[in-house]
Amino acid sequence: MNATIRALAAVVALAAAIPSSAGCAVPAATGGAEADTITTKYEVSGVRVIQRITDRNDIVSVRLYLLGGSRQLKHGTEGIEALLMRTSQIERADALAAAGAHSILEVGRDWTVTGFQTLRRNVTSAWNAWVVGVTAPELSGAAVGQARGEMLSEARRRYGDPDARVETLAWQNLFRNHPYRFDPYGTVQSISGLWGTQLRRYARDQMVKSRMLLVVVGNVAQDSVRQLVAGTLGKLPAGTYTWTLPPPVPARPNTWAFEDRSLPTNYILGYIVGPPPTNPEYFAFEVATNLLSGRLHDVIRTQHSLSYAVYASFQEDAIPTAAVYATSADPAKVFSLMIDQVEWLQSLSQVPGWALNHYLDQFVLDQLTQNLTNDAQAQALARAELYFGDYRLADQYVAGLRHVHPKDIRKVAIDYMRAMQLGYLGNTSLMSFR
Amino acid sequence: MTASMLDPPLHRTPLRMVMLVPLCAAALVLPSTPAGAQQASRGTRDTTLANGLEVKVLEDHSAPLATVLVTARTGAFTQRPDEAGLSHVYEHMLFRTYKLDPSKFDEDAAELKAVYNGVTNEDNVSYYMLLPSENTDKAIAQLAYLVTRVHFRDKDLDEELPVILNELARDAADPDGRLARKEDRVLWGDSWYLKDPGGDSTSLKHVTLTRLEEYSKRYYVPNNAALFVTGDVDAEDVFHAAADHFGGWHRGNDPFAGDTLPPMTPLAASQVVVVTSEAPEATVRIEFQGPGLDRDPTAAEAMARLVDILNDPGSRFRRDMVGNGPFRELECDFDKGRSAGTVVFVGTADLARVTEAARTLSDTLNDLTAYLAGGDSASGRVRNLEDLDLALTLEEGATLAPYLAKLWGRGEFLDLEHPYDSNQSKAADVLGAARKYLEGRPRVIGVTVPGPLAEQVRTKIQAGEGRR
Repeated sequence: MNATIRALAAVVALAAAIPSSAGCAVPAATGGAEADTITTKYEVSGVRVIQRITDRNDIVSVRLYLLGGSRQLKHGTEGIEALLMRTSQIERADALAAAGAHSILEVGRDWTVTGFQTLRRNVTSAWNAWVVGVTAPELSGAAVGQARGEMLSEARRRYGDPDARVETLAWQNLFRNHPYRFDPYGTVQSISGLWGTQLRRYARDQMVKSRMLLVVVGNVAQDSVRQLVAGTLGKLPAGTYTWTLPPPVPARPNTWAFEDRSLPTNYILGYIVGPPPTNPEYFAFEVATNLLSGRLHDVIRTQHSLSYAVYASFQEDAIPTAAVYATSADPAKVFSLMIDQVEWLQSLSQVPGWALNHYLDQFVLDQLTQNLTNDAQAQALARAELYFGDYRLADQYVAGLRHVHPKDIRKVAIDYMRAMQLGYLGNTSLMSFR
Repeated sequence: MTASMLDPPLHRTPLRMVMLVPLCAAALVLPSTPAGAQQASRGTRDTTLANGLEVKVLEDHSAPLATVLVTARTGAFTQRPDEAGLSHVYEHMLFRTYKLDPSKFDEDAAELKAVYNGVTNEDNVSYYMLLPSENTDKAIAQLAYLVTRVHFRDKDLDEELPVILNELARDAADPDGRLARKEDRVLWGDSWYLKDPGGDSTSLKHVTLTRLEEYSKRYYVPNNAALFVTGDVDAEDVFHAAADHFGGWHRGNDPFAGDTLPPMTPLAASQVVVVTSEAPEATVRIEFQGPGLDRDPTAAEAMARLVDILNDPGSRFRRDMVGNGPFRELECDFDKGRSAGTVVFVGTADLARVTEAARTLSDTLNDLTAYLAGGDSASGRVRNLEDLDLALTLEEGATLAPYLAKLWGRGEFLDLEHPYDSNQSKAADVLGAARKYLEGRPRVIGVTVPGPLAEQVRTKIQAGEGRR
């Protein structure tokens, strides 16, 4: 059995077991789980590294997490880290392509990820092509201009795209007066005001080892990784950054952010804030969100034919949310049915065991599917390390879900699904917004 | 950048593929038996049941997962002129009418711990389930029931049509989606119905129960279908299960007997399309009719290589268009098709530079020689990235069935035995494809701009094209 198969088999075995738990969001890392002997965590010259060695294929995924996300930002600097890394990406694009690698750049509210995917034979050349963009970005005027242009273009297009626009409306509504109100992608106004001097200062102050977590998955020897890191990232300043989970979002009653726009259909998106990853109810909230999603689909699409796209989606962020979404020509009726389904969930005297098991079975499938690739495994390892405090919990996620008891579903529905912060885009005369 | 939570799933960069060159390309007679059944065996294990159903298995034992998929060779390309969207409606209706209960397919899939979907393409329609591999046999049984025991009622059609219309409305609400659809319609003219799997509110009015039943009898026959299973399965077990569950499906008449591939209407002259958008930013999109896999297979492969060369982040084309040119971003794509493909160049530009961007790109596409210079060495560099793309796709072997089915529908296959030698296009082929299908050829130039600018931009772009 090769390493990856073993890891996946461990997930399945864990999913089949239903251990009891109390007071812990996830099972203890060593609590009876098969030891993850293929993954190690170590430090090279002050850089934290999580590495999984797998010989399943020749792909190597390298992801460098720059921690902080929205909390790195303030008015006027929204998008600065994204612009810095986009500029580096442009400057290194030719060298990375020549090395046979695809670059990775992901911008989020918790962190920014830069890195690459390549074949094993190209790892060293790809690393050398990529890492200069982190340790010594050139930040030429032409590259900064091109990166700024691309980001401005994306910011403007987010206004025109109905899905992106309703997401912005709902998100800003949810996070008003919270650090997450600062958009890590930047706004047209903030991006327009960012120049090379600021980027150079940001790179000097913020490209520090304490903000970094490097995750490598693929068939590469640990010594090789150590050598690559020591000669490059390891020479950066240490810095004093400490990663923590963000502050909670204060509870508020339902509020709407809406915008009138003439469209062929209307968009509703509501966010419900769930418990943080350190809370024992985290997994129950995820299961409740998925039960709600199935119910919304059945009632609104199948029974009433009111929408093609209607669902509730669990957003696995440091501040987890359920995103409740629908498009419809009859938004008032759809919204009323959405609320009915939340109330249905809250009034359930008991979720039938078979129904719960059905959803849990699908989580097992999701986990297996989502961890098929080396890059997905790298993401799961990083999330487990940063949200739960231990990368080894990545392979025990399903076990955490298996802890959920039917009575927990009703409880989290009552405790957390009391209010939604909503966005609406479309014909506003069709809605009351009360 | 991180995808939006509301974004549709991302697609992998297209793989290098091998086409099944028709034995008699000039005749363009649709195959009376599935095209290239023998060739398609490379990389998969295949058999054909007595009723004509092809069964193809790709074993991948890296995770206890499997995808089971049944597909029929139909889609936009078999539609009549007034019934665009028929194949798509049929796909929705199969799920709704399964065991005469719209929730039943979902419930049965849940029993198997499966997720499922249906997809209507230009060249085929597929239904698939992704599930733990231990339930593969039952999934084959469920899909066999879905496609072979069809019973539609008027009530079902009445209930499903609003859902489909909301799906189309959602697509139309996105300005870029609207631009793409409008340009496609202009590009293909009278042949548009052969490229449009979705249809619209007008064409869907022509869909009746009687017509769906006729359609079912003609195209949903085992000798026009295939079963794909990918993942942690044993091919012999799949063959037995296929015979058990699909063996009773009665062979039908050859749906394409005597038919010829309808000719695609050529675009007579370049045209300009303007779509209004709320975004203070322009999209510029230029489309060409490209080579078809059946009609010009060598050029089709070369066109796939051409777009890879132009998309290379270090290419001179990108430098001139984006780094030093009027575009913020620019991507090229070649959407393959059996009778004809679509070559697309799509980018974004400041509103102040939209006309310049459209003209610069259109002019550049009239003389690509300089950008394709470097020939085989440029191809070599691109092939290094293509190797990576292939490895990334094969990494998800258990979920490859929908992709393999799409290739099957187009008469292509993925050559897993010689994956790195598949695209044999030479520099001369690439240049030849550029000259035959792009340089100086009629095109559709489209832009999205805010309403007040629409006429002014249209006039300027038309004037620029008119001078050529």
